Amino acid sequence: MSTMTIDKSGPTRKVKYGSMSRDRTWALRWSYFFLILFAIFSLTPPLYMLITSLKSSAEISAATNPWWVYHPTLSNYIELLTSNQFLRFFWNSAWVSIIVVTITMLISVPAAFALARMKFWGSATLATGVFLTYLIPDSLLFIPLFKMFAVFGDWTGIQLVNRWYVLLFIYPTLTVPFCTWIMIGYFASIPKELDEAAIIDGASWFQTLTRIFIPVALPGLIAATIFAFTVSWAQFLYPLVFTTSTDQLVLPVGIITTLIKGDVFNWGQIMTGALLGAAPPLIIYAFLMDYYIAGLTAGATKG
Amino acid sequence: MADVSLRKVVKRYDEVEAVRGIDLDIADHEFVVLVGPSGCGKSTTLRMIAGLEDISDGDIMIGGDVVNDVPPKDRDIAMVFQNYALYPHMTVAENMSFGLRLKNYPKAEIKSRVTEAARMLDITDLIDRKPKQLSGGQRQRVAMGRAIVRNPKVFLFDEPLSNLDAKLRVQMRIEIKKVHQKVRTTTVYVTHDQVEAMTLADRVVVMNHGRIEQIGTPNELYHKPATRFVASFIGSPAMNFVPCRLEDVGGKLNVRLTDRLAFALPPARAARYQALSRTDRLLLGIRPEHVMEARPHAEPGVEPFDAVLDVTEPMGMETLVYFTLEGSQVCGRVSPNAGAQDGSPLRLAVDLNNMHLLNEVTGAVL
Repeated sequence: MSTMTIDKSGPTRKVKYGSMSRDRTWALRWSYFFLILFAIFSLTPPLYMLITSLKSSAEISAATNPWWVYHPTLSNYIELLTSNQFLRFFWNSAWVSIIVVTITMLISVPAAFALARMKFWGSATLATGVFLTYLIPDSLLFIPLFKMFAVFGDWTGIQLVNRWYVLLFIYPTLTVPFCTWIMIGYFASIPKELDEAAIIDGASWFQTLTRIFIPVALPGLIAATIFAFTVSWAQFLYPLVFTTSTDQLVLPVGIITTLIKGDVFNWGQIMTGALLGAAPPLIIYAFLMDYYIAGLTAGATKG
Repeated sequence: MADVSLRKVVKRYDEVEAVRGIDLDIADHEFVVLVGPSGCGKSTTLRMIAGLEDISDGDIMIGGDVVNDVPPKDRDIAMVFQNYALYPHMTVAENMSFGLRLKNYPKAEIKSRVTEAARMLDITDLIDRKPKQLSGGQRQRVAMGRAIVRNPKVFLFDEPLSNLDAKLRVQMRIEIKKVHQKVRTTTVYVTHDQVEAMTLADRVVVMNHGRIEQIGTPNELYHKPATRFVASFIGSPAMNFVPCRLEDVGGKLNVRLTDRLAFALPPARAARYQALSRTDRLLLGIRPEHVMEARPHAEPGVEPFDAVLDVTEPMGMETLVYFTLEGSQVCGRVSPNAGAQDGSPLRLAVDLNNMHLLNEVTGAVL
């Protein structure tokens, strides 16, 4: 009697399911690996600042684990936030940054509109020139600029050096060219028919700018605003050169000139000051990022 | 009055002449279509009427006034663009009312005009949507609505249907025609699609190389083209052109296509072409629908001949047949029951009552 054997194991060939998705899994693993690496790299300094800011001077100089707080204290924060000097720096920085952002936007948005849309003799060259001025480093410019303001003071008797508002003249030399450049790019990406439609609808150039271009290029405007604010807030060299009196200093310069006395570094307060100083840009980023939605022009034209 | 006149209008870009002296009179309420291949100057002409391009020479008049130096907003025109050009941050209602709001119209007036236009275009339900939430056809309607609410002297359309798919294009074409029948605004419409031109226009302006080739009603252009360009541009499939010469055989005029193929001209045509019997380099122009299968009974002016078909294209209601005469490809339209097959011979007939004779050198229809 013959028995029929049935091979239940079936074909031994391995079936590959979804090789595409496995590829994707690996791509994701690698991206997470590098993202985590990058996060560690960029978040370690602020973490160290936070840890140090919670320590007393005694604990900072003690030979304990620098990554652990044994006796947490808020004394650094309390001292800084109750010191008129620190608050003065903070206000100076805030005023300078807010006014500079305003000046920058008032200049660079109309400038970019003119350069991107009103074709006039030399407009293309001018647009490139605007960007080239941005490439000149501030370390090259601060001496001639200082000289200019000094001579201006001698001639007119209007003393601008060592006044916080001198920075309102200087920072725009950094922010205006770059913001104009960003806005030229955004405005250039708006289809030509959109301003032609506006012109036929009866809009003036100014109305086309305010009622069509600015709303449509809002993401670009926000990017430019963030840039201008960050540059003004974090600028170090110019305020170091142009302001010396304690009541005229902005935050970055104020922290290092008042909290480092000779060779004594008040590390706890330096770290606290730096951390507090980093908060406003962070808040502004978080707030504006919600509005920073790309693809706002979707639907204007076909495709 | 909202008639539009162009007098010797020229547009020069540096050394290139895009428009070379155009004369055109568009009557009040008329729907005129400018048609021609890419780069023929039709869009430039429209943009000059709109005021978006300066004119290099000549005069443009709207409603009797010369508007050469009048800015677009003061010309009282409205324009619909190929890519719609809707303001992406505004709702449909805001898009449509933008022009009126800029001119400080009263709110109630704006609302009633927008409502009326939306109703006419069947977009009432979309009035609060943003352009990105609309389909291509809906966007095109909004763009038309924006033009209608302004109640301008002249509508200008710059290839408004080119971005739509074929089916929607036919639908919107009818829509545009309906709107024009309602509002009766003088309209200048630019397209490269001759079917669009023929179906929409009161009069069609055929342009080529910056010049007007011919102005006429759709039927005039189709049946009495002035030039070879117009003859071949209007109509699909295009008119056939075969080199030919005229022979005077005993007082009767023949048109000879090849050594073996010649047709006797019908008396009316013979009289018209008598003077040309000595002219060299002539072309016989014949539309595909006048090359059909041979019928059993003879008709005056319809001459039978035999041809070997290269290719056949069944279209359903008819079959297009292609064959070669003296190196020229000829297209004919035969009944689907005529038994046309690729590579096989078929007895065809040509209706010479509808023939055209062209000068091959100048391209003029004689």
